[in-house]
Amino acid sequence: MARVRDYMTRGVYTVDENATLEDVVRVMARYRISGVAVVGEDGDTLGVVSDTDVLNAIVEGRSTDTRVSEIMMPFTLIVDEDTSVEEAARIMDRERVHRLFVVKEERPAKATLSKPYLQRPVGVITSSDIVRFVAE
Amino acid sequence: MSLRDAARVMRNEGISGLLVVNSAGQPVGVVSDTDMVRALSRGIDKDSSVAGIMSRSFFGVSPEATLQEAARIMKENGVSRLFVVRGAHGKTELSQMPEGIISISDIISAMAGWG
Repeated sequence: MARVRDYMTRGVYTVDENATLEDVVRVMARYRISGVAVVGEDGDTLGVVSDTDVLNAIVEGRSTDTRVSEIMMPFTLIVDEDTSVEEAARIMDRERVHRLFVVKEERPAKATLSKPYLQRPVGVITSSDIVRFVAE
Repeated sequence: MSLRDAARVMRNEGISGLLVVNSAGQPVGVVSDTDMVRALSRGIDKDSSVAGIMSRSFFGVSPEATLQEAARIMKENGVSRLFVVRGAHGKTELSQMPEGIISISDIISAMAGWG
């Protein structure tokens, strides 16, 4: 069975929580990507900004110095490397998104009861990876 | 054309959508990466025809429209690309080949150049 690990892109483009809409646009254009993860100072992933979120911000007439934290979505659409490609497609279809982040759980140096693990993004699987799978 | 062959064209050309034409060369639908995700999630065979999963609606924008207008049409209709057709604004008939296509990534590239 084909797994997410076989089709994902390793490594994740990130911006920090103080980045602006303009910063995100530059990162997306420069690296030709359609989504970035937003990380906090402790390295924990706080959210996700996609090209659709940028489009919505433009339509709403937001200024280019809008903070990413105002337009990001919660970092909830995640899978692990062992998830099947079909299951990843089902999640994308159901949640109407074009990408899922691939995470590994890690115990942080200082664990708290509310946050016993850090979910470290190690890669991303997108609708174009699904297209590659269908092409085979 | 099968889903597999359409996916190969998309993969090889590095694009996320294709215009589907009939034997007379007239546009009859659009197939995108989103349609491929839906097909796989529903267990549709890779060798079945794109006609079964394509969208039969076309969304367009006029070549004179601003990027802001194009962005609004995309958002209102939940699509990631628009066909550029004279006089079009939203859902449109596509009786002939469009002048071009504009996608979200084109809008983002243009914005990056504004600064």
